[in-house]
Amino acid sequence: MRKAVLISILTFTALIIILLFELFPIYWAIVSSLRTRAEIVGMAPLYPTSFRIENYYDVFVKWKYYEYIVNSLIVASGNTLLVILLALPAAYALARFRIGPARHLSFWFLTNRMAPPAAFLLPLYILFSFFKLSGSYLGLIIAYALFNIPLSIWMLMATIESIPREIEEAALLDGVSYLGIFIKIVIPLAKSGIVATSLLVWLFAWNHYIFGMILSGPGTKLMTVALGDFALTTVGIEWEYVATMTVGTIIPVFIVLFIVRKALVSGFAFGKI
Amino acid sequence: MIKMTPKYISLIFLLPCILLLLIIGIIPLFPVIWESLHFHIVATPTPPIFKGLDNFRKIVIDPDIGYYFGITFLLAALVLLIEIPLGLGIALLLVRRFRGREIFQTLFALPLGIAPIAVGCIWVLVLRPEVGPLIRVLSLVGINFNYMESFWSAFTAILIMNIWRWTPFVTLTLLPALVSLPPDMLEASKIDGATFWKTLRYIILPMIKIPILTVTFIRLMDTLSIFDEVWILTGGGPGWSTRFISIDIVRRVIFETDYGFASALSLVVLYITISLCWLILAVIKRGKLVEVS
Repeated sequence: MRKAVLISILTFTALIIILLFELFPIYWAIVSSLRTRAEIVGMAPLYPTSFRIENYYDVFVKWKYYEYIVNSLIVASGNTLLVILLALPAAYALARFRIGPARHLSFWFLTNRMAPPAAFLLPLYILFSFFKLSGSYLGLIIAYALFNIPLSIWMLMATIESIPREIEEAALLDGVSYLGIFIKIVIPLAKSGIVATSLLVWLFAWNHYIFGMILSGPGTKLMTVALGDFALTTVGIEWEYVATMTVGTIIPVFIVLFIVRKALVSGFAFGKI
Repeated sequence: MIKMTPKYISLIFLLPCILLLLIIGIIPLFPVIWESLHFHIVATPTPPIFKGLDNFRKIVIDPDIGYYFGITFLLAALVLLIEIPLGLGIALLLVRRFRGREIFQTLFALPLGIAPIAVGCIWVLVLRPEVGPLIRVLSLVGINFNYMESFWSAFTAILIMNIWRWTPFVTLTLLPALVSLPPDMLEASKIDGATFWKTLRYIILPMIKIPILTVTFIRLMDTLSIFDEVWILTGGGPGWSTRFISIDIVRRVIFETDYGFASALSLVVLYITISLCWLILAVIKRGKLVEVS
């Protein structure tokens, strides 16, 4: 019995240390975002000292940082919608009928996720300039599908494979069409997997930077690009604003994570390739 | 009317994805192949000059390119060696139900949602020379750490930042597999007197082999293309010592506009990464076969 108590205490301590390590940098960004210039430059204490909400006013209202966040929301949400709509039927087809050349497709799909985005920078720039899509929301939404479609097919396949086949076979015998089975049986049963996949897809799109650097124009500048531009040009001076912008980009994510925390608690599952 | 055989159905269901990935994943490679065979710097007025495979020859003989590949692979190796065991360890701590587990998991997963570009900003704030909190804590124990001092200090900072951002992902991917292990099997091994390490080595690890290989694979792909957070934290410095391969490509495309060379390099990186991943997938598939038989 004593051993069990000891193990519980050790586990608890380990978890606390891990949590401190994971949360301290976020805490520090929040504290820094509320500080004055003098405190940022000097050796201010580790606990919160001031509450300069003006930093947020400057960044969000005066410099219109919210516009970039709206752009990012449009692109990330549009991309999630596009990706799930296209990947769900594909994942169903790959999970249920692996016939003929379709078996090799899943590897080809995945190669698009393996490739470093930097390697696709120039190819996509040339393509989108040709189609006059660079600088538009649509261009970015399509570009992000390059890495998000493979990821979501991979995750959705795992979900669909975990649904017992018998239900679909019974429906087929009852004369329900494949499309009917897909819409009325598979999608409702795969709901939790679809939510977890949408979450990851949305996160990857929201957080993406490289394609935005070159494909987003003045009217569609993304929040990550705005943050990167600011952080890279302000070398060592306006760090309170960098912190403010950073916190500003994190908050929408935390709200989303809080809403779908169930998906986080159950974790992510990936299928076979 | 055509009979809706499974073959047609699967083709119809797959077609949209195939078309889209053909357009954005395959077609743009053709102009890039053309560029890679030319000497073409966009910022200069000279038109592209056909050079054959000269750009590829330059990649092979350029020692700098070899260095960029080397540090990228070194980082990937260290990331895998540290993050997978660490993430697995934390997942093992989370298998047992305890009060507050859901809250822990939600808080623990927060870094996962932060954009890599913001991760870079956060770690600059934490590591700023002399005033960063971590630097001050380290100097209390007599360590003077300045991450922009040398290659190794910058590399260590990048590694720690990566562990911070991605270990929760490893944990959350391995956790469902651990939770779904049959509890009576673990009980049985406990009754048989197996130690924790033996249970882990002979029962748990073989049963979660596929998720472990999968997450290894995902972490490998993502580390080989590391860019955003390093771009903010070190910008490829000090000097050019942390110019990982993606940083090099972006610099060449955006700042040097050396499309010819950058195209060749993009293609090389693309195919090296894909072949490497293909190799690992082959290993995963082999593992699956062994399990079935």
